[in-house]
Formats: sequence, structure tokens, C-alpha cells
Amino acid sequence: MDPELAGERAARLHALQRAMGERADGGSIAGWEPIRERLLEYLRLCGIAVGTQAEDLLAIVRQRLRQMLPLRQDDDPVAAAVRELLAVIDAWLAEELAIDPARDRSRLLMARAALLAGGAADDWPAHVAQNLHGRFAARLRAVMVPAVPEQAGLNMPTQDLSLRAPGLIRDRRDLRSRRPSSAD
Amino acid sequence: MARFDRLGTHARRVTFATLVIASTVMATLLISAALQEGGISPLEFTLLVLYTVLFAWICASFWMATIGFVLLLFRVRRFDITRRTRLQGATALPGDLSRTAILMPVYNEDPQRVYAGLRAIWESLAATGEGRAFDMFILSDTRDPDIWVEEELRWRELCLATGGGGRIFYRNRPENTGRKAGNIKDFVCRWGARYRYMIVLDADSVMSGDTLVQMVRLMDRDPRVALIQVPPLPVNHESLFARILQFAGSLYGRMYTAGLNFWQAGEGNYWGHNAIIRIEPFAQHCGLPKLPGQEPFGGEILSHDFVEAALLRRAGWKLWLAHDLEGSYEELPPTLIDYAKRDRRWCQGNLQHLRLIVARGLHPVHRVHLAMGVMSYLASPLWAAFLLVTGIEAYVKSRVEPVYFFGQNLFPVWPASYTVQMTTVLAVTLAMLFLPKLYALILLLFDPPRRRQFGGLLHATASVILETLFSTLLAPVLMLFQTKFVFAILMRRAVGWPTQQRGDRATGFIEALQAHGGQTLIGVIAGVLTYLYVPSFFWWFTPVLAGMLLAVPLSMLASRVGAGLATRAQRLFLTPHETGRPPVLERLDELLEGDSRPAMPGTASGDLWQQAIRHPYVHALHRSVLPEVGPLTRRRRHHLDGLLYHLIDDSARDMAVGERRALIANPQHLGESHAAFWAQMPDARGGADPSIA
Repeated sequence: MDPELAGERAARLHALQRAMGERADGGSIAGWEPIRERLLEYLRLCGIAVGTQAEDLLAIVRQRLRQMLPLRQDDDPVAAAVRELLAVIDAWLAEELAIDPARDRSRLLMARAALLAGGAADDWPAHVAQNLHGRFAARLRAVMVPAVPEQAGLNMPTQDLSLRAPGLIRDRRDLRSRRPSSAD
Repeated sequence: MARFDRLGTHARRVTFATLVIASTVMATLLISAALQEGGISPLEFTLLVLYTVLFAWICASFWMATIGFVLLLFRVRRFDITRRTRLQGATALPGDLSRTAILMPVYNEDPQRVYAGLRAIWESLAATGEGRAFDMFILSDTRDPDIWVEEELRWRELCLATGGGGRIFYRNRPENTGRKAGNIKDFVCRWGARYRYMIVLDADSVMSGDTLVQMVRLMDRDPRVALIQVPPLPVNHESLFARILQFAGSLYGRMYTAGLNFWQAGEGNYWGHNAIIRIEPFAQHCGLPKLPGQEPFGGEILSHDFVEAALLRRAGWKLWLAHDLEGSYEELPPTLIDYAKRDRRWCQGNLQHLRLIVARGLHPVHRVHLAMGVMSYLASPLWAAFLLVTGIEAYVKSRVEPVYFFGQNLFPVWPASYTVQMTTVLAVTLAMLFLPKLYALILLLFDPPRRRQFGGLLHATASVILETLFSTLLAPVLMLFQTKFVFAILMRRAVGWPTQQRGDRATGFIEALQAHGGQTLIGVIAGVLTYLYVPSFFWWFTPVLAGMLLAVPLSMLASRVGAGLATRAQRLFLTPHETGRPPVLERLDELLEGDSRPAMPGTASGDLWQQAIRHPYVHALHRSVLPEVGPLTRRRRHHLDGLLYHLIDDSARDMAVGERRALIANPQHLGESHAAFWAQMPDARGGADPSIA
């Protein structure tokens, strides 16, 4: 990795850890600000405007980040924050839709896509932040589309296309004797 | 009844074969009479053989059109699958349709067009009230990551817009093994048992809901039938080239398909799309082997459709051409150059069939299908050889001084004149080429509604004359293209799997010159040589020369949408789908006028494949669609990490398509990339103030 980038990441990590520590002591939150900005930008891409809803959600992310401290030296605080945001959303979705995240990852991701697309409702961040359940399940299910159905396949054995001289007369006799099985 | 039926089929085949063979023998006798004076030279013998083969080829086409003409004129429908199943009685009740999957295999196609077509089909199907029997699968083999992500976004949009969630499915194969045939095989092996039938479409196919329902009904009524092919009508393009071909296909196509159905009966063929297939026998009998040897003749079977049809028949199943079913459409390449490119691909596939003609156990009619496929490309080099040998023969003849006095004859012995024979041969050949066009006009004469659909008899006649002129000029150009392709393949230069160019676009001068410059040069050389050395032949040769000499401007002019629209304004080359737009095509037009970019929340810019890494919604959707894979090896992880940092630090400009695809193809790594990208994407840097530390 670019050494400049690694240095930058280490600096951010340090700032975050200090800020989280300071916050616990009622001090400055300067290290959190760039992370917050980034997460707000992230939510804006999901069509969520800056406001109380978004802030409530970010407060949870921040709380979780604090519990994670200290972060691994090679981890980026912004990356960790994004992961935590998604973990919060996924946990809420799993409960709302009764999805087992370990067994049905793709369904959970589809639910997340449905939620982030805004198809269910605009005020979902508030519900996620307050861990409220029951209101969105039906709406979410209506906009969750499975990519593929349950598998139920058939074998497709490779055919023999021998390129020998055909023996047309014998072939003809063979063909006459053959009838499709379902027609019998 | 079945025995009587079989006898009838034999009788029809014997009739058709007799007509073709008798005409060929007569023409060959006429020409050989003219050639054999003084014994046949090797050159003349070659000429005779070439003429016989080519005449037989024209004859087969002519008699098919003639038989089709008679059947349509007298409305004889007893040989049609639609009529036969009705006569034999229904085994399924109306409304009780079997489960059917509509398959749309795609490979780097324009997603907007593909999804507009699918939505038009789905809505048309829903309007029939029988839509519940159908599911739809978009079987993507797309390699281009941008198109891949767009396909996924549009798939979800389609599901939500039509309420088709849980019935419209999407998957992208990690490896496109076996090309299109492998794509279909993958479907059969994963979901084939869920359905009784599959209807295979092409990226530019459109089918009306009524036609889809009818296809399923026909299959339900005859359990011996494994495949029904519905001939697609060429539609939708507006370039002059495409409009002329659409006109020809719409006006003449019916006769040829009716004639084809007359002799092939239950030994019909599969054209690769717009066909319904019974899945179980397909799975059992259509697993294609790799042919021994290297490409171009060995390896994967490229033109799989003919072979699959032959294998189904080999297993005893029936295959029919439902030539009288309407509501089946496709799009043609919009320019002559795109048409030639498609021919290049098809040419290799068809020539590969040369060795399959003698494959064990195939029905003779299917051997004929394979041979006709081969001949449709081999005819061009044979025509080229015929013209060359004719020129040489004419030159040789011109160098021989006639001798009027020889032996003990007191009076001059005049050379025998074969003008009558040669004129007859020429007239018959020309009649075989051009009479089907007259048939089509006669059919219009007796069908007022259809006549109006073609713009009236006057405009239809003018269009036929212009189309004849155009196809005459086009013939030598296609002949040279196909001859080149055949030789390239014989020299073992394999063809890849290029995406077909389907949208209207104008051919530029440089492009035209690159494609047709060699043909023009051949025209100039051939013209000068014949004018100087065989002037009598030169004038006969002018139609061929004209096509070659005008290839560049003709190709450019024909590619122009303006020229196509101008002819439409003059009511020339009108087709039924232009004068009375079918609802399913009208809906397609409406949908294509909509947004050209798929919708996503927020304002996202940049390539769509990068959005699969960056955009929260696109990322989640893309990951949800990706198949689960095993854990990443360390080496692979480092490779993907390297690509990600390349993207973040140096942008994607110099990343290869394969690298871009790799970055978004692994669900595990993609999840990590998403967070890492947000942390390190260029505009995020410096967000955290290092001075705080």
C-alpha cells in the first residue's frame, strides 16, 4: 500500500481513538467529525437527508465504534464505521424479516438493497436507530425480489456424435423404431 | 392414421425432391449440350459441375417458394402444426397451461433494449390472462462489468414495475463455458425440472403474449412434439439496409416457410431462438459434445441449434415449424458491415456442420438441414469460382478461330448454334431467382388487407423492383464477403464470440473503405481484364461488377437512417409491422423512449461497475445476486487488494475489463472493498485532520 496512505490511515485511527476516549471524558469530538461526514455522505447516497434520523443512526454507530476500541492498527476508522453502520442495518433487517444472517446472506443483502433503495419508506433510519419493528416487514417483502428460484435441475448427459460413416439404411431402421417415451 | 400420415409426408418429400432433381437435370442437359461440342474440356467439365450444384441450390429455394405460394394462394393448411393438433384433438384444456420458462440468454447486449423487450413481452403475456404459467429468466453471460451491473439494476426495476418479483429471475455465470449452448445447459441443470417447456429468445427477440400462449397450447396438445419453431419477422430498424431486408423478409418469408414446412413436416429445424422446447427430452438428448480436433472445425459446437434439433429427432421426437403463427419478431443487423460480421460468426458454425452431416443415427432430413446450412455459405465461393471459370472459358473460346472448311467437305461447315439452349438456361435461371418476387405480389393481389399493410399494390410493386435492384447489387458483395470468410476458416483462423452490433448507426467512409475496398479493387481488376480480353463477356458481367464497384457508397447509403425514413415517407418498403404496429412492438417503442440509465437513489456519477463497490444500494443488490463462492486464497486476496488500490489510487482508466470484473465478482472481497473504498476513495482523504493527533 502507498506509504502516504498508510500514514494517513494511522493518523486518522489515532485521532479517532483519542476522540472516542476524550468524548468519554466529555472532551473534544474532532476525530469523529470526518467519519460522521463520510457516513452522512453514505446515507445521502441512499436518499437520506441530513437530520435527526441520520444523526440518531450515526450515534449508534459511534457507540459501537467506541466499544470496538482499540481498533486494529491496519484497520481504517472510516471503513470500520461503514461496516458498523451496515451491521446495525443488517441486524435490524434480520429481526424485522426473521432472516437468519448466517444461513441466508443473499436474502439479507437483498433486503438491505430494498431498504437502501428507499422502496419501503423514507423514515427507516429512525426505526433502525430506535430498533422499532413490525412496520416495514410487509413493505420490504413486497420489494424484495429473489434473483433465482430453488434449484431443481436435470442431468444433461453428453451425447455421442460419432463421425463415422452413417450406415443410412440401418440408421433409418433405428429411427423408425424410436418413439418418444412420453408418447408411449 | 399415423401410417397414412407418414406416407403423406414421404409423398410430399418425393414431390419436392423430384421437382428439384428434374429441373436440375433438365438445365444440366441443356447446358451440357452446348458445351459438349467437340468434347468437353476439363474447364467445361468444371463449369458444368459448378453450374449443376449451384442450379440445384437455386432450384431448392425456388420450388420451396413455389410450393409455399400455391399453399398460401389456395389456403391449404392441412400440413400446418396449428391445424394438425386441432384435428388430432386436445389433450389439455384451455387455461390449463404447463409451466414454462421464458429464457433470455444475453452476452454484453444493450441492457436498455433487452429489458424493454422483456417488459413488453411480460406485459403482453399478462394481458392474455395466462401469465401465471410463465416464469422468465435472464441468463446473463455478460463479461463487461458495466453492462453486468446495469443488467442487475434493470432486472430489479423490471420486477418491481411489473410485479414479477419471484417470477422474473436473473443470474450471471462466473464462467461462460460452452457459450450460448452452455448457458442454456446451465439453466437446464439448475432449474430444468421446475418447468415442462422453455421458450428460448434472443437478445433482440420480441414475442407477443398470445403467441407464447399458443406455443404452449400446441405443445400440450401433442406429447410427441419436442420443439416448435416460430419464424421471427425482422422488424424495428430504420436504416435503408434494414428496411429493405425487413420488407423482403415480411413479403417473401411466408412463402418460403410454408414451402419448407411442406417437406420437412415433423422433422423441422431449430433456429436458435423464438422456439419452444420440451425440457426433459432436451436434457436427455441435447448435451453437446466437444468435437475432436482444434477450432475452427473442432472444439465447441458453435451453431448448436441445428445439432440439437437433429439430436432430438434422433431420439424419436417431432419438431415442427409453426410458420403460420404470428407475433414473433427479431431485429436484423442495421448495416451491411454488421450483417457481414454476423455472417462471419455463423459461417464458422455452419461449416463445422460439414463433419456432422455424416454423424451416426441422424434422420436423413436433418442431414439435409445440416447440408443446407453448409451450402448457404459454400454457395458463395462456388459462385465466385463459377464466374471465374466462365470468364476463363469465354476467353479461351474467343481465342479459337472458327474453321469452316475441313475434311472432304465442299461446302463450309457452320458452327452449331446453341443460342436457344443457352437462352433457355439463362431464362430459367433468372426465372428461378426472380419469380418468387412475382408470386409475393400475386399473393398480395388476392389479399386486400395484407396489400394495404404493404402500402398498396403500386407501392409494393415499386418496392419489389427496387429491392430486386438492391439485392442484385448486394449479391456480389456478400459473395465476396462469404468467400473470404470460408477461406479464412479453411485457413483455420477461428472466430471469437464478438457481441453483435444491434442499434442503428451510420457507416463512415473509412469504415466502408476498410470493409469494401478490397471488393472494389477486385471489381476494377475483373472489369478491366474482361473488357480488354473478353469484351463479349464484359457486358454480361456488368451487374456483378456494378455491385463490387459501388460497394463503398452502397454500404454507406444503406446504413443511413435518413435514407430509410425517406423511403418510408414515399411509402416504399412498408411492412405490416410499420403500417399497423402490433401492441407488443408499440409498447417496446414507448419503453425505449424512457430513461437510458437505470434508476438508483442519490446522485451517483461514474461507471456503473464502480457503483457496485461504492454505492450502498448498488453494492447490496450486486452482492445479493452474486453466487456464493469458497474462501479466498491468500494469493487471490492479495491480487484483488492490489486491484482495489489501483482503482483508488490510479483510477480505473488503465484497468482491463477482466480486472474490473474480478473486482466485483467475489462477494467476500466485494464486502471488504465497499468499506475500504469509502475510507480511502480520493475525496475522502484528508477528511480526518492528522494534526489532531
